[in-house]
Amino acid sequence: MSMIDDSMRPMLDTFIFETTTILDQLDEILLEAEKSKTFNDDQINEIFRSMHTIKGSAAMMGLSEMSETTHRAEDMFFIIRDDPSKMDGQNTGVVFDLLFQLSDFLRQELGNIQEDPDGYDGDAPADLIAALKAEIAVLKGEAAPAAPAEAKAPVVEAAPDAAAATAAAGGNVHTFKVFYEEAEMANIRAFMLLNQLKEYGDILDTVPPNPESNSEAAQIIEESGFLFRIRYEGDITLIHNVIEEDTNISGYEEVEEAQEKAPEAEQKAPEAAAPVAEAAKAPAAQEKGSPAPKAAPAGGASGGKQSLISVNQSKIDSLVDIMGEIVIAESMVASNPDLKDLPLDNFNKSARQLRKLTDQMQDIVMSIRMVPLTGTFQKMSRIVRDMNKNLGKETELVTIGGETEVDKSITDVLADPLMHMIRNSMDHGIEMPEDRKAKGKPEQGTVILQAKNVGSDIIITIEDNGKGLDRDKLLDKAERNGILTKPRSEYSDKEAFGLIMMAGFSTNEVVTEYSGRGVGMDVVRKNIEKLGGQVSVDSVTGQGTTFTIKIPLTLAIVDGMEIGVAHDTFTIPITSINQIYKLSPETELLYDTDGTEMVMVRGVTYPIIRLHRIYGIDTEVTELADGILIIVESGDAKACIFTDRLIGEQQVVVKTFPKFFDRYNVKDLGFSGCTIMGDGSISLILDINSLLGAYRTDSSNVVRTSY
Amino acid sequence: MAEEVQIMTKKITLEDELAGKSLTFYIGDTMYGLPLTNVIEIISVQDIARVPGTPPYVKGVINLRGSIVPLVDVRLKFGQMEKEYDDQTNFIITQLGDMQVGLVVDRVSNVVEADAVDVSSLPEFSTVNTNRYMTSVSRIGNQLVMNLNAETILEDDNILGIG
Repeated sequence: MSMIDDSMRPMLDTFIFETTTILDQLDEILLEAEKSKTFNDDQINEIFRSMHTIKGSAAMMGLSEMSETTHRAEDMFFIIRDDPSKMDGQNTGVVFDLLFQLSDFLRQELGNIQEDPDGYDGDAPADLIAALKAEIAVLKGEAAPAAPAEAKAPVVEAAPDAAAATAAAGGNVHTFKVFYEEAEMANIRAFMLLNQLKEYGDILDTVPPNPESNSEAAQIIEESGFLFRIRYEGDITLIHNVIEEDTNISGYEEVEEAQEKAPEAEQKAPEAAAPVAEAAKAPAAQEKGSPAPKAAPAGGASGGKQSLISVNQSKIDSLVDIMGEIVIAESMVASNPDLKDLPLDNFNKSARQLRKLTDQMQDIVMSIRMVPLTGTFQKMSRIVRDMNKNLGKETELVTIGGETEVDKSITDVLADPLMHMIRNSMDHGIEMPEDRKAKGKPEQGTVILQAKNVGSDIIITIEDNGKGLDRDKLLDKAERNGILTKPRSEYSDKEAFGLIMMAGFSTNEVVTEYSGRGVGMDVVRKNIEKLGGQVSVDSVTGQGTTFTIKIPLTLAIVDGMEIGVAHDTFTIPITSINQIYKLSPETELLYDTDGTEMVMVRGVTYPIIRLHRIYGIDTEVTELADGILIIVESGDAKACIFTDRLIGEQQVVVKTFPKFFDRYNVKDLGFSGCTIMGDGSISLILDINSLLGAYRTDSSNVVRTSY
Repeated sequence: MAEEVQIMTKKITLEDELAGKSLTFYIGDTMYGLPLTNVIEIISVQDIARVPGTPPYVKGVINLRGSIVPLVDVRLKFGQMEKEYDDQTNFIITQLGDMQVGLVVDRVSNVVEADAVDVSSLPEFSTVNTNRYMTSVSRIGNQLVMNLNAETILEDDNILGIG
């Protein structure tokens, strides 16, 4: 029942970001370790450290449930770390499952916090904690005879010694100086340490004071360490322990206190600490090095880490916006009509220079938003693992090209459709191991998830070696559901396979947990199309199915053709434009039975979409020969858009429609967003895909037209 | 939406100062009041980009210093005759719920204390559709002020069937 500590509110974003990153790493380790059925030392250390960090930062945020649960897992790994041999067959499975459960729980809590930080009210997962405790008991029970409590017990054993030390020290005041290695937010980490120590004694004062609320503190701490005085009545080794446990601390020293009994305590304390802190072997020394074995992996990780910074996405978004405006402003200045016909050699030279720089800057700015698909792919590994367990199938997910980078906005939307398609492949595609054996296939099925760059698009394929699609079955089903639009025999294989992505189609009669929950493949297709992408299916019966997704690399900036209809301007993405031309007055128009106008260009007929008509704009240009025809295509659909005039080609920054328009379904009318032009006016961006969907007159099928 | 408005107004630090005040404006001869907490700014007529496929009272979008703001003509929204924009026409940029919306009004009048003495709740003509947009009626001198309900003003109005 904990709520977020108010004073920690400003740290919330950082906390969520950090914890999510750690959880992602954790999942990766777990999946890797599960393959080899055991943990190696590095992995154990890594997991232990992850747990420790999450526990600490959750406690710092006041999220006691998260820290409590993680704490148990940390305990568990404390035992495993001591004696990895305890991870034998049976325990391994349990430990893996517990860790996955823990990871799920933490993610869910993070999600809840993100959704509603004000209303967040944590709830301890009693089952999980109990399970963790049980496993700890199992591990300990087996451990007891084998390893007679080397590292854990001393804490207890040390107690009598400590009692003596305490008696001597009698609530002494100790002063510690702590150093952090290249730590971000050293001040917050210092505060965290204090929080932990509060349980043991009274913190008297610190230098710098109030590290958590003092923004300059971080720098001071980084440069000259963090000094605090604590009045402590118990075993001083406990304090040493707490400090040594903190993996961010690179070193610490206990500062000599000018108090009568302090020196004795000082001498005794390190001695008592020695067996506990096996790592720090210099008991007599006042200054201790960093607890080497623990810090080493941490150092390894942070040392090899690229110099990354996390930036608020909204800042990048506004940077991209401004970048777009600069590009526009640049072209407004360089090709300003006032400068026309003036001899401006020097100006033109400078303008070209400016152009080059803005182009470069734009490339960099756009690359900031690019993130690799690794994270998304990793989530898929997790799904495959869970489904294998639940469906009793054996499937291996092979990911290729995870390093391919796409715009952040795309990865966000991509995860869902990908997940759905993987589930689909596993549920419907991959057969049960015995069936596979019977068919002479390897028992283990394979799903290959691959991403690659092709020009300004990215292509993602999901390929399984399952049973493949059955053309006849698909057509039967489609016929029953009444979604066939032409005689069966006229369907090509590709078209037949494409049926599974039509609305109102779902081949699985049995609803399973994973697919067939009313969210069919048509939703996947719609989601991909929303990103301006396309999906296609290919399959060989008995051998497998391949889904291919093609999506643009970025959505933020579009090369557009500005067109005008009366006073309104629209933008058509250049990639959708096939050809632009003017009709000669003699050209004959064709009409189908519904009276749809069509024009034949080089033997191909295109239906004509008159923008002024479909959008109800009053214009004087209504004769086809007076205006401009633009042949556009999206997927297999082609049409001719009729407009009054062309304005010119321009790179535009895509802005989404204000939320207000959600209720009017403007997206279904063929608008993907709007953009602000150089002169400050607004142009609506046409989404050719949905425009053709809404006003489509299919070129391949002259009879079937609808307006 | 009610919750959203609450959350939103909580964030406005000037809330205390603004609370209880209304911005009044005219549509024809009728004076309307809008809670000042919902008002962001008042601007004069600007170029509007029409958005097809929307009801007539949605005039389109404007470019407000780089952000795209939808524009609703209050006159049309309340089922009255369209009137050409003149130099008295104003766009009131408002924050309604989590959206910024510009309202087109005939002219902006004044800022008044909404909790003036003569406030009465509305007569119970629950069938009268525009009542959904009002919270109360108050009087300033001889002038009646129809106080608008910022939470419902954007709701679609099926009975009048505009659109």
